[in-house]
Amino acid sequence: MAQTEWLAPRDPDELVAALRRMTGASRIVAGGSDLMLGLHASGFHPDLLIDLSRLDGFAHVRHVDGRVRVGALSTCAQLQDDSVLATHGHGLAQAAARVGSAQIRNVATLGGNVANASPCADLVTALVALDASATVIDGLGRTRERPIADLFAPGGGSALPPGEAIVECSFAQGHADRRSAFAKLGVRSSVAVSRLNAALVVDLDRDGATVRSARLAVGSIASAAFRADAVAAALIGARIDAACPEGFTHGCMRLVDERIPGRPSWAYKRLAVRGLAEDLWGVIGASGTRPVGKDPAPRSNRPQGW
Amino acid sequence: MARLRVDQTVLGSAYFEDYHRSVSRYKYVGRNHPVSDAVGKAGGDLVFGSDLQLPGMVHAALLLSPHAHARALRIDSTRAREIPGVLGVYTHEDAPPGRYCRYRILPGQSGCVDDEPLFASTARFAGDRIAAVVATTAAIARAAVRSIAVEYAALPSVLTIDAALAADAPRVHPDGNLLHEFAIDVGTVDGHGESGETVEIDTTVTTQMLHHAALEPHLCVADYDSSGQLTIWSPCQSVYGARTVVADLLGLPYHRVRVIKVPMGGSFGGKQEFILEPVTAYLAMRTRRPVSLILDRDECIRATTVRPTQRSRVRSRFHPDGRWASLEVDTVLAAGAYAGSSPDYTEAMAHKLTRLYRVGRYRHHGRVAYTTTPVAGGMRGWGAPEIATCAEIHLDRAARRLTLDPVELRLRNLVDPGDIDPTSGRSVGEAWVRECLTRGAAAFDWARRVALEPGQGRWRRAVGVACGAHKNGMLSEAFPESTTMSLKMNEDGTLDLNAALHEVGAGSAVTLQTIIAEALDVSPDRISTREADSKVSPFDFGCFGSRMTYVGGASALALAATLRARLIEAAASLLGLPSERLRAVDGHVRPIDADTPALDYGAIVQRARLRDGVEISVTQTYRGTSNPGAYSVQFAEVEVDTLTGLVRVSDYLSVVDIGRAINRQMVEGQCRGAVQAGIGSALCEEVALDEAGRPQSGGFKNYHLVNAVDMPRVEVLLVEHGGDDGPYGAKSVGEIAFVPTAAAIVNAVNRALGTELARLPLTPERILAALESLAAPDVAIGARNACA
Repeated sequence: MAQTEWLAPRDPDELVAALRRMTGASRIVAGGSDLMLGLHASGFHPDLLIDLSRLDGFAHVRHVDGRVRVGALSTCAQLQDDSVLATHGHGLAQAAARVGSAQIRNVATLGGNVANASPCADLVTALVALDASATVIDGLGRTRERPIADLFAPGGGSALPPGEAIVECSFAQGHADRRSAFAKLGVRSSVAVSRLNAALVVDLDRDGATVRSARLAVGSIASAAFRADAVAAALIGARIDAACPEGFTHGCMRLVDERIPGRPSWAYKRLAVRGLAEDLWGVIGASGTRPVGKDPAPRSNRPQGW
Repeated sequence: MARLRVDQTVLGSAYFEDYHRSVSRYKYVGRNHPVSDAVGKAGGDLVFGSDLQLPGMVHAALLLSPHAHARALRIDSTRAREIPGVLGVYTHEDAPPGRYCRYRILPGQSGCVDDEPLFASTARFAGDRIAAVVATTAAIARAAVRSIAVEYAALPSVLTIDAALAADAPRVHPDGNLLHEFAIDVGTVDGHGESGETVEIDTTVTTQMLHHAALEPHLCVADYDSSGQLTIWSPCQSVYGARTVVADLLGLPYHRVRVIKVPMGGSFGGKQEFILEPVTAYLAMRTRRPVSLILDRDECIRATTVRPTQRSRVRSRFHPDGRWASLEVDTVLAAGAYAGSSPDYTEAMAHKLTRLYRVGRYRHHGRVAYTTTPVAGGMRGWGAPEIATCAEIHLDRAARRLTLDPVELRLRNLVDPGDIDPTSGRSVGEAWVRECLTRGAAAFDWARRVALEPGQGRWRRAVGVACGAHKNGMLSEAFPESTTMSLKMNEDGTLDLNAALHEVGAGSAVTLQTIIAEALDVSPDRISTREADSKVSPFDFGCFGSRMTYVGGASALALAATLRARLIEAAASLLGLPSERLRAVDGHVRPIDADTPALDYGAIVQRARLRDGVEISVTQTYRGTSNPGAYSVQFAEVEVDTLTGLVRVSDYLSVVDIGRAINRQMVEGQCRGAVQAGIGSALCEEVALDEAGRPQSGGFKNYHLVNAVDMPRVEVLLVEHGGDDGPYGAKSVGEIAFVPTAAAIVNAVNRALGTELARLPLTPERILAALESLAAPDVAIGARNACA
């Protein structure tokens, strides 16, 4: 049977050298929470496996010059509790908190979630809403920054060519009073693949309560998460302590109608997306006042008392 | 004790009064004993079947049909045979022609249909065995399986019960799709007649195919040696049944087939039938090498057994005061591709409701149909959960129609101790289900909680209740109940129990140890047990029918009593005292008037053996003469998200009429585990088929169990009145604890939403669809939006 060569670079130079040797049949493994299952299930034997687990660094979360920079090897467990994200990327921290189980979050990485390019990748949806870009390194040691959407092939899957690796994702801190939220819908409250996920970023007026602008990203109903700012526009002018604007909820439903008409899951998802819309809005209204809950199913807008 | 303190805050003092009353009577019974192999499992040194390594062992893999119904026209294994390491490829072309019943325990057993071939030439479900490869490694065997080319001719599939029973249905087997049909009509209409002033309720409930989801996959190891001895190592539930099926199929005499039960990583009934033993044994005979066959999760879901899908129409007439006048059940059940246990399984469903309620006249019509779907088999509760789900959803509808509290409606109909079950003519025994309901309702604060409004917002909350009945052993018109065991005392006073024990993970070994320990007043750790081995174990049917504690335990108790009598007799001879003046206490035989010194058990065995040539060992057969009801009443609180259709079970109480808990922590563990499985069966677990009849793949990624995060706190309340023929009054728990769970949850959801959901599982899709039809039967939301 085919043999797999295994390289575990310990520094950026060794990483670059390893990337230079990649072919179309080579794979990069970070946390391995998706890749290893895929390899076992498919019986595919890569010619080369580059293991990033011995690489120092690339697990930072920094706030530099108006941008939040997150190392590709940051684990979900790390991101969900990160203090920089708590302030500047709540939606990303929330998404990280909802990935898999505690065991999976301990190994699964930001870079892996992006490179795996699943249509329902939770971190990707949050990054798309945050207008993030990714820094990619190649086998000659050159780095360049690309919009996150460019990493996904139009028909689905990763657009990252062999020999390149994601080293960082970053997004602008932006407006002074920005809030972000993430919500997902699975078959259960944890260890569930998203049937729908969505992330919302809103900038508030000076009153700290009225939406000045908003961005929405939705995952699981296209080959990759995509922006739907036209739907989010229904939030402009709304007070975040008020009920979820109907125009936003209906916009989300129309989005599902447009994207997956006729699919078996359509009838359900078009209704259930209302729940996601309310969840997002509830988090926006409450964020800044409460930390990212470890509760995987935040129910911030559940009424107290019945 | 820390654990008990935690529970005390939850359950209140009444529970602990019972607990202390129970345990104070006994030295070992009713206390907490860790299961015997817990340390080995936790430490990783317990040798499971998949850990077995035999000299020269090779590995098998199966080619399973991807089609629900197709004829294999040509099987080309040329490429597979050329792969280095492949020893052979086997198909129907060279397999023995016989057919077998995977469910059979004994030759001549009624209810068994021999319809399953070792390898199929016509695939009858997506998962049917087409071929097997034996190779030096499992990876090579699997790779070789992938390189076998099969040319199939598609046949029309039969995926539903209705399709199977349609007049012009394609036949799954030559004799037609109606595999079994029966009718029962017992009892008389209670009161003023069936059609008088009664209220008719008519409900149809459908339950789904479920996967057992034991942690350990299905596996088997077999070896056929040069002396003609076939040895099978299997985590099975009946070594004698495996022997029967394999020996009969392969034409071997019974004394040449030895089946050894190996430690098991869970079954829930999934390993009750003999699925891999025949094919593994055959491969071992063909290759003359020890063969190991281990399925992966996908194969376990597709190609072992599933809980059958069934639909029951339940029609009742109630008197205006809520008493049952008559009950009529019409059940259709899909057997899947082979008969397996389905005929008996369906019949079992007809013997549950009359153990639970006084229903007046009871009619039950049952039909079993072949379908080209995964083979149905035994699963925890064996029809009792299915029929309880149907009847208890029905009862809640009746309660609504009669404007009665669901608890009150049930109280007006439940059996009392000593009632006669009209379908069997036997007593329901110490049936304290009424007390389960009243005490449970009080502990759950039912009366207050049921009166609360579910709310009008996004989340709705409500409570639900359901009752269930099951059995204690297999005693019936069709089956006797007996088991044989041997107990030997050693010269140091320790004991060896030789019984065909099939530890399925429920703690049966430590249960028997505890029972014998109590009877002989020795520490349980001075008693050894062994797992079943058809070569050396006395005969036993196996581990099913909730018979382990009630029948096996009673057998162990009777055995210990006989041994104690022997021991006292021997001591009497040694001491020169009459037996009546001696008693066995704390590992010694003592005179009642203590002026003569006591003899410890070991000394008696030594001296009896040396001086008198007397053995302190007993082999005896126990015959069961009763089969009382096992009962559980369960209370659930749910919160339903009306926007997403997701349900969270937020509080749970399981009350079980246990008779007497032998091993309290295991009983409570069974109850809590049953709730975990029951929530799954109510809300999310289903072996779903695609349009072509293929089960979904992806293992546990797509078969959704309830995980720890979604589990509510589960409180357990045991009603312990003893009585009956079980050891120290004990009754069964593992199956009954699962019986009412799904119904309690469905009833709570229906109460929360005002719906009448009756098709399980209650997926978010079904819940939202039901809410939509409630809200605006004719106008979909999309249409409204378009107008707006």
